[in-house]
Amino acid sequence: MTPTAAPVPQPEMGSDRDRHESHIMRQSDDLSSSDPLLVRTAKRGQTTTMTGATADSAEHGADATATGYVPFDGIYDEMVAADGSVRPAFTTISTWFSSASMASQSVRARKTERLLLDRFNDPRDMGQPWHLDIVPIAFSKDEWAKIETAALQRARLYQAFLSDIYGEQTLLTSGTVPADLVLNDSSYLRPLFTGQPGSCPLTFLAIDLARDPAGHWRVIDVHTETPAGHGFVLANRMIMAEISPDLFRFSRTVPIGPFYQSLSQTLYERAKGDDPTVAILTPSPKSAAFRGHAYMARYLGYLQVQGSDLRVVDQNVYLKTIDGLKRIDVLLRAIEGRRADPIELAPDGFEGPVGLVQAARQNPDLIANALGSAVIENRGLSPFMTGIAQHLLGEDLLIPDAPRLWLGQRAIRDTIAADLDDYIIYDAQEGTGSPGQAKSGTRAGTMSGEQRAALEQRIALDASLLVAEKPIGFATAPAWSEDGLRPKPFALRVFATGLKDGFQVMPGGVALTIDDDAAVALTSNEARSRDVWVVSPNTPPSSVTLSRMAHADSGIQRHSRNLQSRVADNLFWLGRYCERADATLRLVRQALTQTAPDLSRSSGRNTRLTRALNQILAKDGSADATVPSQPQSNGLADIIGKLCSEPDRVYGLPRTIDNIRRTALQCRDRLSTDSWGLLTGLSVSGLVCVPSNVQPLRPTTPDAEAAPPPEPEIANAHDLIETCDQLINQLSAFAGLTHENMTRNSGRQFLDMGRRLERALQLVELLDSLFTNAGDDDELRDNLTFALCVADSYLTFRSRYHLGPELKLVLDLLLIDETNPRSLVFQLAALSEQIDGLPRSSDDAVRATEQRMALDLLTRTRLVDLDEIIQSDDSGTRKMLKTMLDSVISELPQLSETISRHYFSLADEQPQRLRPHFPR
Amino acid sequence: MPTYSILHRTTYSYSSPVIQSHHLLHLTPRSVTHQDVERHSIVIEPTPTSQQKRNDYFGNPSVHITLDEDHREFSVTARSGIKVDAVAAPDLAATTRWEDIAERKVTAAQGLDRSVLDFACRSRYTAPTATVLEFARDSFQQGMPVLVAADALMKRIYTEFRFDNATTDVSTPVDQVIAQKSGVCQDFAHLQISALRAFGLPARYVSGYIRTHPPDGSEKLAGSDASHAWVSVWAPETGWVDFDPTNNLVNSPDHITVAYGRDFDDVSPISGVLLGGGAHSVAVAVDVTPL
Repeated sequence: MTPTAAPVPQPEMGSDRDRHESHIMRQSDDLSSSDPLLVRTAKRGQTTTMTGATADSAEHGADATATGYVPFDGIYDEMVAADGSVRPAFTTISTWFSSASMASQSVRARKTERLLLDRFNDPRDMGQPWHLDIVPIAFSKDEWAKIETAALQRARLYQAFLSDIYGEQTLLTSGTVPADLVLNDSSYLRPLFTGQPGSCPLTFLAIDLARDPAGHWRVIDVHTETPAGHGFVLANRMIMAEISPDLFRFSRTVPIGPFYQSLSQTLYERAKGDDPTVAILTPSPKSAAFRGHAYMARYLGYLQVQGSDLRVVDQNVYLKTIDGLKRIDVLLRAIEGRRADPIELAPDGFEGPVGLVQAARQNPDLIANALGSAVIENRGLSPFMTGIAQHLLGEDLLIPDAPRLWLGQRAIRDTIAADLDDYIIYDAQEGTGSPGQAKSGTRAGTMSGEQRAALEQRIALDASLLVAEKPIGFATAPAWSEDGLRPKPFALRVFATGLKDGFQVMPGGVALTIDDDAAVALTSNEARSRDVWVVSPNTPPSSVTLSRMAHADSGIQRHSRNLQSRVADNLFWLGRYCERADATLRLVRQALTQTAPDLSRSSGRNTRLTRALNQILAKDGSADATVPSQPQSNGLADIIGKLCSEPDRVYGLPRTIDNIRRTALQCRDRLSTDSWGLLTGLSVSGLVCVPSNVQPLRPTTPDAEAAPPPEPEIANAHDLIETCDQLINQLSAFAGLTHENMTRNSGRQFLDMGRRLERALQLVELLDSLFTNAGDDDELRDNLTFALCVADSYLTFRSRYHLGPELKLVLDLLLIDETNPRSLVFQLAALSEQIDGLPRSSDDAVRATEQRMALDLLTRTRLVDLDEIIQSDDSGTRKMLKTMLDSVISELPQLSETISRHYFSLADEQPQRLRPHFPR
Repeated sequence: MPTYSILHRTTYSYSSPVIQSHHLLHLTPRSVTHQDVERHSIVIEPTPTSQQKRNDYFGNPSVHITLDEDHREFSVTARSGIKVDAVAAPDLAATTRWEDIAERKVTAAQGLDRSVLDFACRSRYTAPTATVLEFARDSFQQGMPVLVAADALMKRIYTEFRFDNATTDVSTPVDQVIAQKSGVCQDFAHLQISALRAFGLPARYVSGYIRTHPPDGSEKLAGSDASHAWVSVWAPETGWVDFDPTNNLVNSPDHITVAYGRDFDDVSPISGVLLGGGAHSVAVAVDVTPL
């Protein structure tokens, strides 16, 4: 046994470290260091550590019973050997977990989940839940060396296999692999066949391993299609370093940063030219695997692109940016190969740009992994793997495949038909590499008659797509539970990358706890992921985190200047939707405040307020808003109810907030974690308007009959106001974050332009509904107050004038005061400035259309003669004001359209397939 | 030994401009054992920005084109001169029993290699279904020579199914074709292929033209011919033999082969992906003139 040279770490809950940790967490009330429970457990933890786990005891192997951990009889366990001693790799971890109280570990476990939730999980997108067990799985350097050697052999083997299958096909002609197995696989991409050796180079791969109960490793799956799983590794490692920094440090865990640095270097070296652009091609953000890929892209500093961001011209791949087309030199592929080019591959696969296969043919180094690499993932190859290794390498497999049968052969089908109940039936080609996403197999033994008949039919029709295996059981490793550490079966994913002169294996990886009754692969999406540590006494104690290593390599992050048209488009609309939501919320809030009897003196006089709200409804094509001349027929409660909770209204709050989330998702890699958290935290659940059935008592006045019928009361006005406040605060916080924290680049420019444009539009629409018709003085006064409040300029006005609002002064403040950040002219000036700063080709000597439009609007607004435009004619219409506001209302959307055409036009078109003419 | 002059013109019209389009053409007839391509040309309007010729995975000549100019109309005219040799009628009864091929008892050395097995595997339009299996079972009697079974299947489709070009489109599944007992040549070809492959046999989809004979006494109308599709089935004794379930013909000199693949997807005469274009319509004119 190797003695652990490092002092045994002690959990330090309640110490400085803890304060630091709770600082990191946003909602840490229940975890603060002043919590008496935590202080107590920390003290107890320290004393037990001192006595129970000295360096001496570690040297002689801790007694397993001290941890309360008992592995299953006769089943190999990673922590505890058959003789009851703790394996050297686990000494530190075992001591750590036996010395800390359950309560403190429980706190850690909860905190882990919360960190994951805060950073990596979307509460609204549970496609791929991400759980992390706080107990890492550790391997000694010697044990890992065996895994590493076997993984390197596999990497060479798989590379040779792909090269042969897309090249000379000696495996098929020699009969080593049945041709039907490969030819029926939809991931065998015929257009990529070259007939030449050296085809289909592998850059990254992952191998899933599991031990059988006796402790022998088996290969259960291989992943060569996408770099799935790297996101898990990176996130898990960062969280572990944060949750248990001391444990991490004292375990002498081998760092994984250098592995990623070599990967990055290899990709950059592959690209020809001085300043290459490397991008990771991911599916749409809606796909389950997206988050993991996005995380990897961010860590490596790669541009993250989708198929629609790219365009193939002359067999080269370009990125559509706001500054035109930019050449891409290397594409790290995180999409399914068969869906990468609709012209030559699956006709309905639009995840890559049209013509990608042509580009790949012309430049075999362009895509990593090469298209077609998934054919090695076929589980049906397992029974032939020994022969393949002999044929291609002349070697015996260091770790064999899991015992498995391919049903494509008649004899095999006859064999398993006899005792079908004993087998688990799987798809041979699963088509997903995401941990936790694999489908579980089908057990005939547990089926109803009907299901069994369906399975038998499936075997009759699709045998070549199926494999069968008998469950063999798994070795275990300690997993966290509220009752202490418990043995759980697990599978391990090992990663390798191809460098210039061979492959390298990551020292570590990710493991997944398998449910006792679940099947072979990494199946259950409820399973917990595990950080995998390789511990070596030669590793200097270090709590170095990944982010620091990434920074050390920061020369790589050179490409933030390439703003994709799609991202610019979404940022622009994110800005517009945020402002739209903000304006609508302020309008609703003010209407509630001003009309609630106990909040305002002016109840009952809200004709124009209703009109202002109605105008929003009227913009919606499907709205049943009444014409503005009869606004009373829609009561306030009715209108507010519609704005707040009808999901299909284009201008209603639920839809607008949904649009915020949708656009934010599309430009997520440009938003900080905090911004993202704020936007996804927007909730419309509190926006429910409850009209009261009780009509308010009103004093009977002589002209009561002539007055409009009283508004129905809103029973929960106060709650609604509070909800509006909260949402407005969240939106303001986001605005503040982008203002303070977002880099001054084109991305921010588009976000800001969207904001300015929408704020200007909302303001003029409000003024248009309130002031273009002269009403009586009381109403005017109410409306002026209303407008000032909605435009967040009431205080400015009061501090400046110390008197009641007056139309001319209010219009001055809201329209042409350049110092008021809520005024129209302020928005237009900012807009014009942003537009002038956008990239455009240098030969544009004259101003571009959008520049001229913005300048024209700005100039006209600046030159407005207030005395003139507030005049009303005999019919009580302020014609000049109306003309002025209406021109702004019609020109702003035109400006938006012009910006879109100039900068996003390449992005908004979705490609379509030509309808084929078929022979008769 | 007929020689044909063939004209195949396809015109797409778009309701709004196409900003960029990629197309893959399978309009160049391949040379096969009984057929010589004497001349061939393709004219494309508007002129493509880029154009690349390449033989595809199955050895069919194909052309990749890109149009980067805005356009509202796209037309391709292919002209070919082809000499077709008559092929002696194959001895169907002298072929291997179908089970030996289905169970791969015939070896690669006997010709059942990857290039043949490629056509025994599933594809988008020919994935086996229970209905197809049920429909075809009668034609595969125990120990029957493979091409006799193929011939029986062809005759059943020819007699039991009605030609009707209004009941199906390019994506009609074979199950529906079986249910309604009608379709066009492509449907019949997909059906027969699907049935043969469901029993483990190699069968390929052939795209091409057929010489048509106008009703007695009438003139043939210009452009009235059509592109055609049929089936080819493999046996170790004969190699590939053509079966046309639409016309009940085996290895006929009236058939001119353009390309073959697993199904229509592999050899669609003109496929494409467009940026823009809106709604579109297509007009096709084919003339097959014997010289």
